[in-house]
Amino acid sequence: MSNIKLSFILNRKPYTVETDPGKRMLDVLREDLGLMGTKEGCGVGECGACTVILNGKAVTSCLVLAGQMQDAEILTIEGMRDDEIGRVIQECFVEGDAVQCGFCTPGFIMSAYALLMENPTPTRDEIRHAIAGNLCRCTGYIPITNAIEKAAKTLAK
Amino acid sequence: MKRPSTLGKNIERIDAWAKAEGTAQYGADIRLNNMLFCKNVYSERAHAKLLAVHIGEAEKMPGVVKVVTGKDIPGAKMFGELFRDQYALACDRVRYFGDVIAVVAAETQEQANEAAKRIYADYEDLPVLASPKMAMESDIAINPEYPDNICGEVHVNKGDSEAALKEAEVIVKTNYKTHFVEHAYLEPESVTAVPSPMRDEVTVYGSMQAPYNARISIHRMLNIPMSQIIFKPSTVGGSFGGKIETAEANAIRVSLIALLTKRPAQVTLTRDESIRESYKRHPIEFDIEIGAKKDGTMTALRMLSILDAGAYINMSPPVAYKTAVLGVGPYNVDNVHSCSTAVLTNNNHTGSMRGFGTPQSIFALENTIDTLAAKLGMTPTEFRRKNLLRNGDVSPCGHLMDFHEVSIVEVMEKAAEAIDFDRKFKQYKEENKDPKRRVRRGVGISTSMRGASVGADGNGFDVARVLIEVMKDASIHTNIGLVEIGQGLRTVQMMMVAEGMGVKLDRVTLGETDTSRSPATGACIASRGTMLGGGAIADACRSLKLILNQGLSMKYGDDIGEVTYEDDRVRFGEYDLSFDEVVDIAYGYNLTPAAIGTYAIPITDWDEEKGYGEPFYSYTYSCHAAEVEVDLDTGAVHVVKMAGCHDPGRIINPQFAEGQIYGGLTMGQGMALIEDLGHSDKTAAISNLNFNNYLLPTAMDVPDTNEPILNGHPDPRSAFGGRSLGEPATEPAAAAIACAVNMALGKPGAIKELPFNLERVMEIAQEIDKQRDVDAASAAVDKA
Repeated sequence: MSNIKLSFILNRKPYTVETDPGKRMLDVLREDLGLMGTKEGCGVGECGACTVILNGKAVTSCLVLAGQMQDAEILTIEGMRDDEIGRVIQECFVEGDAVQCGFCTPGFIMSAYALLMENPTPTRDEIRHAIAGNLCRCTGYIPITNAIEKAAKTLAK
Repeated sequence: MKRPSTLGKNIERIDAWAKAEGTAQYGADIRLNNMLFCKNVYSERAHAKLLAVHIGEAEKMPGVVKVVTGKDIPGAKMFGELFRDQYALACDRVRYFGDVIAVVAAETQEQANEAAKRIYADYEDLPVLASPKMAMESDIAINPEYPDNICGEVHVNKGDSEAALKEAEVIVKTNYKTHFVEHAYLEPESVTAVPSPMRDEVTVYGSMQAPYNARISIHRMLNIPMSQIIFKPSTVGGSFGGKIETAEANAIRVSLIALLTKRPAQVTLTRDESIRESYKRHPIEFDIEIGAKKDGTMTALRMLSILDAGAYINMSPPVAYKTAVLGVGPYNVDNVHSCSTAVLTNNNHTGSMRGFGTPQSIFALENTIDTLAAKLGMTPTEFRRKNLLRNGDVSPCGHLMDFHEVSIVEVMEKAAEAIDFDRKFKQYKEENKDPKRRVRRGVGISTSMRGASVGADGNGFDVARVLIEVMKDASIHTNIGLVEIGQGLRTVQMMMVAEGMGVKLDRVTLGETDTSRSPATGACIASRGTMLGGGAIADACRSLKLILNQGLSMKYGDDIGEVTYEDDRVRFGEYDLSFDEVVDIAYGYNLTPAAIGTYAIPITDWDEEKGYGEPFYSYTYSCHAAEVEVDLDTGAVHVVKMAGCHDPGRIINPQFAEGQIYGGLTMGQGMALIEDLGHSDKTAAISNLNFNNYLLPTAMDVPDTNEPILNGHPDPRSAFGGRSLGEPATEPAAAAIACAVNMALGKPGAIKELPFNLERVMEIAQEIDKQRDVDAASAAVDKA
């Protein structure tokens, strides 16, 4: 496919890139924009390491075509630092030792972010549902669930 | 004894923020000017002579800069840490589907991928030996140096197990099998090699658990001095023993390309490639016999185990060692025979994976123990309570346990209590008798003792080193080559340095792992990071304090007496100085407060011929307990709760320790119930090459009530009192679930092969139903 101009809002800033619309969104983020925080763990949408937020929904960016980024609002892990909710989630992950090897962490944080945007007071079961598409081999999930629960409580204050 | 200042506290992980912000750099995140992207070409045969590799067409493809095959390796063609039997690039033979026959390096990944498709080879097929049984019966040798395909054999002998079995009042005999298990680190392997423009030197980045091993291989195979091979592991996205030989093979290949092209070269495996090429957990088949007296005293234990080593020896002999010597469990039994045999096949090779041969043996042994307990009319906890080791007992391998607290009974009681085991065992046993009950419940328990560090099969070469330098600003800079793989080791290393120097933690800084700055220290494997690294740190701290004391003597006279370093203060005689002042004094006299610390684990008294003695220097004690529900209509197993209690010596960072246990329980759950590579015992192929069919436990599968329990007793045999937890945290987990499922299905040993998947559970469920119908029919006849 020939390259086209893609314009979108990424981490609250406007971007335009010229790229192949048949590429994966994951590759546009990592290769065209150099945003390496979004990880590739499986390439088939099963592990959730490449989770980003596209128009308010958590998606696995390895299964999204670049063309779908046109005019979209996108959030990635790089945008969490300066985001009130994102920052609190990150703090709770760090304090609660929800991070071990860290490869899955950006994906979990994005899933948590999408959840808290939609449902600021989730139950533990709702949290577990929201992260069911993210695999973690290190933590056994409970510290991650705890961190997201704590983030929700902190944000509610 | 002085109170530890930093140890025992929940110090925040030093790399947590970089990981939470997505800025931590993993192997595949590296981008360099002029960097080549590589693609491996894999063998299309599981066993064949490799006659020719055709690369001509690929070389002409757009963007291709270099294609390498085995012929391009200038030095030794094979690598391997213990046995050098593995091609990094196959030369004359392929031995499994993960062998690499060529690598393409191109300007872009897409170009490399396209060109790789044009490479093909001529093969002369050889019979495929897809199981240990086939390999042992075949007259074809996978490796000519091992004509019978047996590449390792380890035995344990204590007392006279045969005579004791004859005399035993109760005997059970079982057979259990386990399967290939994938490490499933979330980050697939990625390695980047960067050549020096100045000399024959290469710097390697990426996902490496054992950089010093890989340095030796590159030295031998690419003919450059070891000092000019520099490994700087990137942030490692999980490993669990898995990023050693496979990462090393890829490091050799990209280093070859980097040196030939004078350009940086990177290879990043796709998940399919990672599963295809990487080594796995050993499938093991066990034959076990246990004898006991009627009063429940265990008198004899025989365990024969056959391990599938796959195509390369890798770590099979030491895995067989741990299966043989740790497989016999934490029981007080006078007559023991254990023999583990590792067999080469054309399957994926098998090697280090968290537990290293013990999750399998614990599964087999603990189910057998339950069978025996049932036969004796005892509950699982009653039998274990009676037979577990106590202080002063002799271990099943012959180790007199008089050197630390043997806490396994206490550890078991705490795990049992956490799931209310004793009450539930009785209740569920009763309620499961109801033939109308379609969802049955069960509880299971399993215990283990894990040797800390390599063990006696590594007697004499189990050493760790560290370089610590006190800087002029009184910061303490540490360079240590034991790699962080997500377990929190680097944070723990800093805590131990602070403790060793008696200073506040924020004085301690830590260099990124770099083999050119840290002396060779062996690998971060075998539950050795905390204990061995700690020993080296303690040694360096002792040396540093002597150097600093020298400065004090020069200033205050030779008779300053004893100097104590505590609470960030240095005290002697009447003096009470700040650490900064003491460092200033040392630098003022032109002293060099830098030291290399060394710790070699003491050689233990193990007689390899006899198979008797002290197989390890120390041990961690563990018990996992699990509660499950088993649906007889669907075969589904629902894990209700797991508890893991551990005594890993001093708990250095409680939060990290709990993290290990949460993760270990979950890894064991996957192994017990769902993880399956879809291996064919005819073709030696594995079919489940990605996470869409290699299933891992998700947040929805793992009980939210799982409970880690810390029961630490500081170990006098460890510098900072800590032993190990990474492997213990997973080794008894699959066994506990298996015991629980079998209990729910009505009898210990109902299912004998892992994983306990839907098909296997359904098979037993149908037998139960058949039996129920038979019972009902005979009851009807009786009535009539």
